[in-house]
Amino acid sequence: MQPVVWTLDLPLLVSLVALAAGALSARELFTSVALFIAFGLLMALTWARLGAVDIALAEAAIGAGLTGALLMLTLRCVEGTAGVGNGRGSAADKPLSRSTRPFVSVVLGCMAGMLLILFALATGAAVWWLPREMAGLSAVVETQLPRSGVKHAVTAVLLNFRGYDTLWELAVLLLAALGVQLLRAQRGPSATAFLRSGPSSDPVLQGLIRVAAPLIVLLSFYLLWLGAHAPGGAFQGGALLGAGSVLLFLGAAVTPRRTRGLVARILVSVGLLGFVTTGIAAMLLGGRFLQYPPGWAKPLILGIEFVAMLSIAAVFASLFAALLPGEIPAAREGDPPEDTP
Amino acid sequence: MGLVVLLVIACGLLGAAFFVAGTLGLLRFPDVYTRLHALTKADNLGLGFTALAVALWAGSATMALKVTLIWLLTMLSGATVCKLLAQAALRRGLEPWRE
Repeated sequence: MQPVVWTLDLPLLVSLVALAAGALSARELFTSVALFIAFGLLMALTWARLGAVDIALAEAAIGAGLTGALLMLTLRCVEGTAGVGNGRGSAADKPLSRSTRPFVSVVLGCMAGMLLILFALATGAAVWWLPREMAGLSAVVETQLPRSGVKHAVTAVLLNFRGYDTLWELAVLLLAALGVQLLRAQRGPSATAFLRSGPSSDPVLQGLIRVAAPLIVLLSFYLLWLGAHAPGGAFQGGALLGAGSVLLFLGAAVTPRRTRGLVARILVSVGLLGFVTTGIAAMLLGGRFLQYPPGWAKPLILGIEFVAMLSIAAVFASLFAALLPGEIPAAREGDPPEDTP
Repeated sequence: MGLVVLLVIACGLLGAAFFVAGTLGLLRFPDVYTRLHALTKADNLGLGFTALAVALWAGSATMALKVTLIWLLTMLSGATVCKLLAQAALRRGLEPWRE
């Protein structure tokens, strides 16, 4: 074995499994969330070790950063409602399944267990019979790369060869944002004490925001631009921009109300709209749906990535804001609109 | 082995030593405040030496600049988070440890 395998990869693998097991079996939900965030960080490292730098960047921003913030806030919301906060899987939580219907739960449990075993066997068999050398599509991508308009294979696949997939991913994100906004209206009364006791007016946090927010905006646009020839792109830049908006929410530099106005709605949907419009325009110009006219691939891809980045950031911002309890007093409503939604 | 390689090794080991010291403090110190102290103080230096090692090893000015920026930003966010955590702990009424 190479030294890097047992000094770096093996500890990484063992810690990943241990963190996953810990997150699943922890008694306190808070511990689970904390372990899950650490899991996301190590997962990003793992992707980087596997050479998938694009995914590593996205995982670091989303898995370790944004998801952690969302889960922590969700935990706060859950703890507000009675009886769910401490411990889980206890019989008291589900009086129906344990005490009154033992037969049904036993049958269901057996079926679920058998399904799991089948799934594990199938996965194991699939991995066992993998060909030694993966054929894959990388050779095809390599030969077609000059025609794609960009120099980075991942971006070429995401925005050109399989642009259709990415289009629907944006639609899924939009649906998620809409769903959470709808749920938000049904949430119970929440304490504004969270924000009063929160760190929003802390001078140190405000100082950090003043330094970090412009840098985050700069860096996300840099990542977007970089995507044309190196790891980066709309998802990485959008996740970073979304994380920046979380920072602004925490510092009360932006009010959650901002995520429900007309501008916010436009920002959330502009990625999908721009993508679909480009696709239809390509059809009107005589091609197929999303078939970029020759010579136009690069500017079109950059344009789509730009609006997609704005939408991705706006979706994350609205997800986070929807979980924030109450409204921050509109003290700084007069600020010029931030570049972060 | 050139001088640069020796320097890289020395800086890397020094950084690791600071990280180990900080982690030891996190595990062994008695309360939130002292643990935060150990973690944020030692890790700043640990990351600094690690960044120095990486910058020297990369051997290009832009890479060195990027690594330095990472170090500065991590220090900034680390210090901020340390302060926020300590304040939250104080507000919850956690008494600082006394011998």
